[in-house]
Amino acid sequence: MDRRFLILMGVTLACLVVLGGCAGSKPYLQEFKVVAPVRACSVGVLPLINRSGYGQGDRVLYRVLLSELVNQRPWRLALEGDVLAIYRELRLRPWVQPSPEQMKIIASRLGVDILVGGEILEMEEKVEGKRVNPRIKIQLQVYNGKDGTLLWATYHSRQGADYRKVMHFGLSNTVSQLGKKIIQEILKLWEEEELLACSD
Amino acid sequence: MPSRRTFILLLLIAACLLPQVGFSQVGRIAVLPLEDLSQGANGLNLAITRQVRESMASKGFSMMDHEEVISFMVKNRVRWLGHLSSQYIRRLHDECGVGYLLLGSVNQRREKRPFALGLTLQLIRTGDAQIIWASSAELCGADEIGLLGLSDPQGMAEMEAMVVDKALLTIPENLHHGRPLDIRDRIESVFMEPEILKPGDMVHCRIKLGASPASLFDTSVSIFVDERIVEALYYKGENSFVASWPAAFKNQRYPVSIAISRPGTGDQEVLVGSYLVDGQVPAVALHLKGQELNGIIVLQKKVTIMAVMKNPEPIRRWLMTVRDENGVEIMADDGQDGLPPRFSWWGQAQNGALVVDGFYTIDLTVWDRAGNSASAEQAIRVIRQEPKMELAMKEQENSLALNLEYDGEIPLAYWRLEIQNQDGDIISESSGTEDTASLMLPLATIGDQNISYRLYAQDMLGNRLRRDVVALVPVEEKEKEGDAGFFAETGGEEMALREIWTEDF
Repeated sequence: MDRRFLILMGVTLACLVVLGGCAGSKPYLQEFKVVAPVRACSVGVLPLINRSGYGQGDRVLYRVLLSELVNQRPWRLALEGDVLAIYRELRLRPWVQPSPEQMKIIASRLGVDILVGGEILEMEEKVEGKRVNPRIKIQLQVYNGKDGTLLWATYHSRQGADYRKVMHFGLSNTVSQLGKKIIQEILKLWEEEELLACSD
Repeated sequence: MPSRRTFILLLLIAACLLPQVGFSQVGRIAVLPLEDLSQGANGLNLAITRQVRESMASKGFSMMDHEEVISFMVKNRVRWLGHLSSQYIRRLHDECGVGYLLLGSVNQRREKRPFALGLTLQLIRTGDAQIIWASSAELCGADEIGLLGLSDPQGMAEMEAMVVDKALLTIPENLHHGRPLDIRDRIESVFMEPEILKPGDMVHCRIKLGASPASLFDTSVSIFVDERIVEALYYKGENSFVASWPAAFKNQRYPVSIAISRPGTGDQEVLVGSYLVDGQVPAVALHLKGQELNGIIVLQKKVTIMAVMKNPEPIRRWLMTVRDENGVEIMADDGQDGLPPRFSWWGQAQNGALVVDGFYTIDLTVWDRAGNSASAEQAIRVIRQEPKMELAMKEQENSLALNLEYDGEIPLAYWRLEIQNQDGDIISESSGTEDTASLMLPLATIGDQNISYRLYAQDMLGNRLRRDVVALVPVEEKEKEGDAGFFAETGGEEMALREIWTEDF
């Protein structure tokens, strides 16, 4: 066989392995410059904005996010009930992003260092016979509670089939499970990037 | 009668038991009915709630009775599930002696194959309203739990039990009370109004603290705004601190902070809200779209009115009126929140009747969110007259001379003249846009028959004329009267003169 053909085949295979292995495997992090490091010892989670057609998807992922944040480390988390009570007082609608001014007020009232907000861009669950393939696209933003500025944002997109190990093992078959995995991956990335440091 | 030794023994046993009783009361766990998100915004799942309660009780936790939880919710008007604010959590702690609150939601529930169930639970310590544990578990019939599907759930009931067990797997067996924080000074609610106001208007603020009236006698609340300090007064009836102050005169947003002072504790300063002072009068202009006559817009079927905000800002209220020459309001319309991009007026009064010809004024008043108002007006004229067009006929040599003359104020758009013979055939047809026109019709084409004509005319405003004149006979054959005209109307029953003036409404 022609040697050049073999080299070309080798390069093509290498590209396929590298690109195929990387596609959509890691959340995309967009970090914004901050003047001083932000102390993140307490967190408030703002209602997520649901831009997908999945009913109650925002509340499902909100609860999952809260649960994963609790398990990440023993920091102080604002209660969902307190966040919603302040939204009512400020006459804010949960599906509207608060302004930086309102973020400052919410953070001050909750007594938290940072605020996590976000939007669900896509959330669906395709049932095909006995198989289910959920798909979620989400964007999470972290705001400084002191001034309401955006600190960083992370975009992540996954589907259940991404987690296949062998045959049907490892597949994520529910949006709840996929949402949990996505949020775990995002929080892991934030931890790795040392974005959630709680030190003076 | 028990002996003294027995009495002392009983006392010792009671002393040993008392702290246990106290602990179990404070350490009780209240399970709020689980919210079922799969059923929509107000879903409730009592079956899984019961399973969670039973599973926790089997782990040795002291549980608050379900009926007691429901009566607490009824008493405090808790009409939502899945979340609770610290205000209610404190009441659970103080009034019901509950140490922990378990909240949860059924995130997903699919009862068709493949079954699916997702559950989230969170445990809140009521002493300091902190989430101390949370867990989420989910399962799907399509999940490969074990080899050959040996561990797969066979139905929804089995799946519910498995998911509840999975969710509660990591709950700590020994719940520590920790060191309850003092949440007495926590701000329960702040209501400040208005959000946007004019310079000098009064701002009202009501602050409710998470403490009983008895413990607030030595508490003071100060409000910091615009480098001013306003002391809030305590109203026992409302258990609230209330303050009012005039807004500053500079147009800008003012953040409001409050400081809570108690003897022996440091001041707690919290940013609670802000308000916007807006003294800027909105700039509004009206543009009418239509035919202009002598510098004034004339109603042409309808007039389109466009309101333009020079410095766009949200509008709280608007009012549009139409007044006649005497200033009498003949029509009005109003609305809230947002100014329509355009209005249409069809020349009708409020009762739907067409207004008479004349001059009118359209007036638009807008109010911004602070209550500043501005007005704009435009004049409009209504003319609904038929085009004044006359046709004169005269014999000239061997022809019939037709002279058309328009004598109207509004420019003529077009005219058309049709002459028909007795059989209805058109023997002459002409049209034009000029105000005057002369036509010659050879008498040979007419003969001695009766003729009729139809005249159409329309002015630039759309006012139309249609004049049908039938059964005109030659004067020669009847009675010639000097130069009165070549043709004369036959009069009486034989003459049918119809003049139709129409306006396109």
